[in-house]
Amino acid sequence: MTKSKIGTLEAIMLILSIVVTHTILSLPREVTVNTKSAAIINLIFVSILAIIISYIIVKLLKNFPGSDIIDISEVLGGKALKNIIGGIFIVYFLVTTSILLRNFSESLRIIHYPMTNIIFILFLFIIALCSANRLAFNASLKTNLLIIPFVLVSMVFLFFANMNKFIPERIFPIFGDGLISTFVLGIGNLSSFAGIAFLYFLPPYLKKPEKLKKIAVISTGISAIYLILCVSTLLFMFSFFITTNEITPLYNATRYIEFGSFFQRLESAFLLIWTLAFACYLSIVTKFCMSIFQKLTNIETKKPLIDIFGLLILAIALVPKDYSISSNFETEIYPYLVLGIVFFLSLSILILANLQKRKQKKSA
Amino acid sequence: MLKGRVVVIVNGTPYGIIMPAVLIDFLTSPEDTNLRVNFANFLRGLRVLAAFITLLLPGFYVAITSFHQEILPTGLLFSILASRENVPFPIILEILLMEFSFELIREASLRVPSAIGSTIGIVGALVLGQAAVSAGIVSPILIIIVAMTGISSFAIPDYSFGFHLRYFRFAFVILGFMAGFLGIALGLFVYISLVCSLRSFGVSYTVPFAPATNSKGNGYLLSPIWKREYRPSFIAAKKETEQPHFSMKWKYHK
Amino acid sequence: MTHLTRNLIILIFIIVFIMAFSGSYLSLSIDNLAYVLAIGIDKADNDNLQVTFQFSTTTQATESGSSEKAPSVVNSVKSSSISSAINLLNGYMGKQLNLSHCKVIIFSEELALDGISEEVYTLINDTQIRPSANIVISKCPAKDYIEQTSPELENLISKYYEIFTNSSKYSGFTADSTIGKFFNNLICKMYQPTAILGGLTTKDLDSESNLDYHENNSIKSNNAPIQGENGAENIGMAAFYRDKIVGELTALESIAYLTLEDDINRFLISIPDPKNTGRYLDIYISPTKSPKVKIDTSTSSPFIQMELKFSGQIYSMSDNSEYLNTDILNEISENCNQYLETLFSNYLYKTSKEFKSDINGLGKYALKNFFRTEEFDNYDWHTNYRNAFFDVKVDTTVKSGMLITDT
Repeated sequence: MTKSKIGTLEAIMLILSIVVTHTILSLPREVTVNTKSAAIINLIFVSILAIIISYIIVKLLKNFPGSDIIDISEVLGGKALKNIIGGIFIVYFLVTTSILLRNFSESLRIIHYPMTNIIFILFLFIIALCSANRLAFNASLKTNLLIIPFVLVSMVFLFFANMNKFIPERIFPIFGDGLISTFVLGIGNLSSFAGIAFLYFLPPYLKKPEKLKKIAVISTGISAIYLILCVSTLLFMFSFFITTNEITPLYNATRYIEFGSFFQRLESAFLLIWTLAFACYLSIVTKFCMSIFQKLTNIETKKPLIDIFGLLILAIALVPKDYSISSNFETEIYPYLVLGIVFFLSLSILILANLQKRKQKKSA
Repeated sequence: MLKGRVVVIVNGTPYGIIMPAVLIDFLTSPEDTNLRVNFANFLRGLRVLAAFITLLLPGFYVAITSFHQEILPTGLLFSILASRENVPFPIILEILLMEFSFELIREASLRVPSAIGSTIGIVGALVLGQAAVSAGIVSPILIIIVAMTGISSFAIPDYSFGFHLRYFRFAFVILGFMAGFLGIALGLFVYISLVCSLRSFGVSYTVPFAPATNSKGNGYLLSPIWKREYRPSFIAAKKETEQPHFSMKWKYHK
Repeated sequence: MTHLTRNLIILIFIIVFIMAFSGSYLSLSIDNLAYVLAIGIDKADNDNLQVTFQFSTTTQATESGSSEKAPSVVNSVKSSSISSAINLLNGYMGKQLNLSHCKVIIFSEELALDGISEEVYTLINDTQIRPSANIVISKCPAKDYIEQTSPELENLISKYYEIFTNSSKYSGFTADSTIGKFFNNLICKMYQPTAILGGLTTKDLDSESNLDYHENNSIKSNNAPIQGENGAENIGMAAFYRDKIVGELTALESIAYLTLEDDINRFLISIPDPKNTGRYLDIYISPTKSPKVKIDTSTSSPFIQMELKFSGQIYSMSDNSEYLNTDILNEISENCNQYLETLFSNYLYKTSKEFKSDINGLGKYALKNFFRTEEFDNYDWHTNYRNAFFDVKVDTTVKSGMLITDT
């Protein structure tokens, strides 16, 4: 079966899509909980770390050309490890996506549809997901490529439209809660770069595999700039001394935009663009899960999997009884999941596989 | 043909088939290449706007008045309320009624004998619209929306492309009525995915936007005649350059 | 499955979804909503509130294109909170109340003395309220303020509410205080909130006794010498500490507040004419740079130094003025400097000693002196602000008259 190939720009937008959809929800607020006014310094420090890590990942992946992390774990530990790692990644993607979907639908429901049951909003997303997934693999990536730039532009627009309400002195005191909390505890903010998870799966799909380094560095760089933009919008507009926890703080920031008395309350337009990006992200993650599943089980076509995975996401999204549980998951458990799976686990597998290959070369 | 495409002409059919055909070909007209570049690009931008209006304007109207009234300036909101004071129908019924009447007029005007052909357009539109407003069946603002949608659909050069936009706008009206901007966003997502999944003889329909290839001057906006040096990259022509680098030799090569 | 069954299933899905979302549609559709333009909150007996809502009936655009003034509808409810008031009124009026076009929220001074944080938090929690709605503290009951507001030059009241705070940019007698900004300042550790001061006009111009209007010192709402059809006026500001009102700013002090916030384009002052004693000159002053503030926090009495730069243009002319002469212009500039320095110093000491409230958020300039938020917390800015010392330097350059430069 011919595999569809991805171009460089599409791969960059793919990695960006994760960051974009998480910032729509509570990510900017989480990022600043520990660091308060030193958020921007902390983010610059964390982005440099992330770029270095992505560079290391690319170097480690170069020794296994054309294979993604599932193949590498098969080389390392045989079929057992391959199934374990594949299973972990599928569960990770599905659970985080479903909880994200639940949070997003809850905030939509609170804002616009107070009298509708949450299941209908979720079901709408799932129907759109299943219809889009029946098309070719490349279609979702092309849609992503068309839509993500609009989201980036919307964030830049948000930043500049709110500029007259900024108080630049909010960046002081410069070290927030102290040096330790900014640089040591702040490393937890590495979890905002969860887009690196897609980097592990990219090599088999790329048209030009030698561009992997460029893709990794550029996408991490753009996510860093985007995150810094979002966080600085929030930092300068709202006070971090006494945090009032709101749902979707960026949505709150969009309510303040006004140009004269004509253009006011543009937040619904932002919600339109963010919903589009969200739907793209859903469709891409599901497609990747299906490919991993196909790799693990060697089934012929993915067609029956589409509805199954859609309903699975719906089921997991309905598990939390109310909004506090799912939002708790997003703020407390999700960062540790990302750090554990995307960074520690996968990096250790890559390092171990590389060590094993070097040992084999030496003994040969 | 000079652009590197394949043309099929059959004796007896007034149409010729050009392949491969991508999205931007359906929004451009052959006369563009003969105008000055600035005017041609203005017209192309206008056509994209027309495509968006045809597809999305009625859907947005229904979504905004049903769920998102805060986006409207207060003055406009009160104008809409004032014009809807005596209308007995809910917005969705009103808009479906007027849209279907417009499509009926359009279809009828094709088969009316040519003597009264032109008056049907005027009679149908004016009388129907004006009479409906005076009778208090529809609101004047809705007539403006429907008229704008109809006029924009006439601005699309290709008949079947314009037709598909008219066809899908009903889906967006129903989606907007059902779930506001959420419905329209999800509908747009499925629509864009469908458009991106199409292929015309192996060439992706949305080239050169997705996948992002170097369009080499063959993108949506036209470049001046002396700059049109390359054939489109998706054609994979044997000879990539159409004209040499310095075509105006008298100006640049002494 | 066949084509027919597939289409049938899609149709059923659409109908099910329409029914599911119709709950929200029916409650949010434009036909079923009554749009509130202004909310007024008064104190009623027994810890209750009297909430007043103002609606506008729509103008009828007639055939000739002209339209008449839209009458406004004012309804009042007594209840224990704003949400129960809305609930009560929903049952009374035919349509459901919708707050997404509410432009002004008015609290009475009586209520503000007790603290309005609960109401502000509730309003910000509401998904419909716009953060750009203005907040007004009225010296009269809020109900009277709403009933007396009748715009003279606009047909729709909403138009009047949208633009009445524009005067803050060119006259500076009141500020564009919005409820979003009020809430942000309420929860922030370095700011204190402010609101617009509203009141009723004195219907009788002659009742004002011997106020020297050159001083403009005590002009604020409820005693401004204005007569017109519009019964409500908005001059001056209300200063808060946390959520309780602690004082009022007059028209001139509002100008000082706006200058320190860097939110004013130009304003008018009257200074004594250096050449002809007894006469006054009217000068339009505009800030040329944002205020430069330096704070010394080494002791528990912060020392605040400010530098302000303005440029001026002379408005009033007479038949023997020579305003191209640099000496005269320098003298006028000196007089401006003195006048403005006194104005700002008096204003700042008033906020520090009388109000004990840092409404301009000068604490944000002190943040630079600390490395960590803990240190700033320990410094306790709000208590130490009461012992602050101020040093204001003003540098004005009066350029010339406007069209006429010399007579």
